[in-house]
Amino acid sequence: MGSSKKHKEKVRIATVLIFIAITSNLTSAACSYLGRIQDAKEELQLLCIDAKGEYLEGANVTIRKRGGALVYSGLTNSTGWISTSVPVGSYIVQVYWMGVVVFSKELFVTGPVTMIAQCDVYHLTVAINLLYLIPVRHANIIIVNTTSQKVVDRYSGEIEIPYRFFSLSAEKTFRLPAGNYTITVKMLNSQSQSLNLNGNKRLTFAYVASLGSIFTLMCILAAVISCIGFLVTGRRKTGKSRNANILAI
Amino acid sequence: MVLIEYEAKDTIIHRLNPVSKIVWLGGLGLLLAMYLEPQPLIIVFAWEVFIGCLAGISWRKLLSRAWWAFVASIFGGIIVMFWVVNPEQFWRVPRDLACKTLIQLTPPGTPILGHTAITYGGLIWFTAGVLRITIAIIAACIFTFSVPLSDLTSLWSMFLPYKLSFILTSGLRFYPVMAEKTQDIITAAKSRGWDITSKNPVKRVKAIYPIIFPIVREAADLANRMALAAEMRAFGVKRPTRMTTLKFTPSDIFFIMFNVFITGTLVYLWWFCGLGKL
Repeated sequence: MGSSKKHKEKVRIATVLIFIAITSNLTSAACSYLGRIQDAKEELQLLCIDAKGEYLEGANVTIRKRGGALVYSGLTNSTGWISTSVPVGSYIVQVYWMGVVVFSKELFVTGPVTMIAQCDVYHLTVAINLLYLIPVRHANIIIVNTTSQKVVDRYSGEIEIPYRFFSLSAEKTFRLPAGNYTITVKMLNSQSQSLNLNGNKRLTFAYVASLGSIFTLMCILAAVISCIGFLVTGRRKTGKSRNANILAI
Repeated sequence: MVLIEYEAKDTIIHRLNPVSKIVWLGGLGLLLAMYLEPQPLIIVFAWEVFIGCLAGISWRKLLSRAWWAFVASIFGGIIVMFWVVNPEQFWRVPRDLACKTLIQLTPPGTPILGHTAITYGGLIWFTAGVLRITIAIIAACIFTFSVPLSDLTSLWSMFLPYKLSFILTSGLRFYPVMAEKTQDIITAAKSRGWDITSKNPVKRVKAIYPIIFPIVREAADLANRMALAAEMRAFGVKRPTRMTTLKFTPSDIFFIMFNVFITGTLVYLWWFCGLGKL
């Protein structure tokens, strides 16, 4: 009897030991698995485009954890892409253009993510045509944010005249975040206009002149005056000759 | 020789000095050589129509005489258009747009013909080409319609040596006389049963002999008589006096200014703003 009791006790101890060994192994495996999940990084690709669907090159992209810790910050490449790897989790993706947030979105990363960010960046086309007719090929354009009173963009130099089927217009396009702006164009004189940019817009400056545009305008005026002069003097001559003929007869 | 002959009218253009009209024609020629796009050519065309209306040209007569030239320009333009497929043929028009194929005729690498297609750029090229030829023909017609030959001869006698000027004038004066004489010879030959309708080229060449010889004889005879007449008038002894003197009136000066300013503006816009460039 005594020996069978001892045997049962040994079996119970052995079972307990085996159970402890198995559970401890499982726990450690579970712990390592969870650890691996927390350390796993997933690829995140982001394409930044503006309101017209054109790539935003050099836009600043930041990715933060919900708590606010910065995970990634970088500039988009020439085709508007950024590519990075972030651990699985919840993030806030923000795109900055000229220091202004133009895109913000919360993102939960569980696997590889490819996302297109359509940013609130609009095209502002500045057309400089003297009297809406003669293109001004050189000008100095200054764009000031009316709210912050800061110069956000400026351009000085030759302005392109894009090919159009029925118009001739000197145009420069800027890509700006939504907001209020004052645009000043300077050449021989200057002209300013204010606008609230909330979409793609076109602004025409008709009272800015350059030497070339003034020369063209003067040529057109001179042609018109000489045409009138030609018609008037031609008719006068006829009248005189007819009178002369009548007198001669 | 000309599509429309001179008509002595008393219009504002007819009264102008031929130099003024040459300035207009020169400016127009310069613009036609520069512009490869149809849009600015419309301005040039309007300018030409304005001058034509002032000259009182008969547009119906012009169309009836020059229709074949317009049709030939259209055919020529269509043929050239098929080969306008190369992006290097365009500087200002976006090359993607210009070389957008509407109908492909032969694929790239086709022997002899090469790549041919109808493209947007080809259509622009074709329209501009037809417009340029049309404008040039109408301008030449307005010029010959409003400038008498005597004015032209007195004009070049101002710049050329008088002997050369006499040769040129005689040559021009000879043309209508010889054309009339040739027609008389052909009519006379036809009345004697002369026929040139044979399809055999050798027979056709042989059939021309009875026409050629009398024409050459007539030409030599006419030249001889003219030389004799010139000699009798002591031609060559000293510089002959001019029959007419060309004077500039204020109307001429205004007309020249008008043309110079229009041409100057359009040349400036072409050079600096790319107006009319492909």
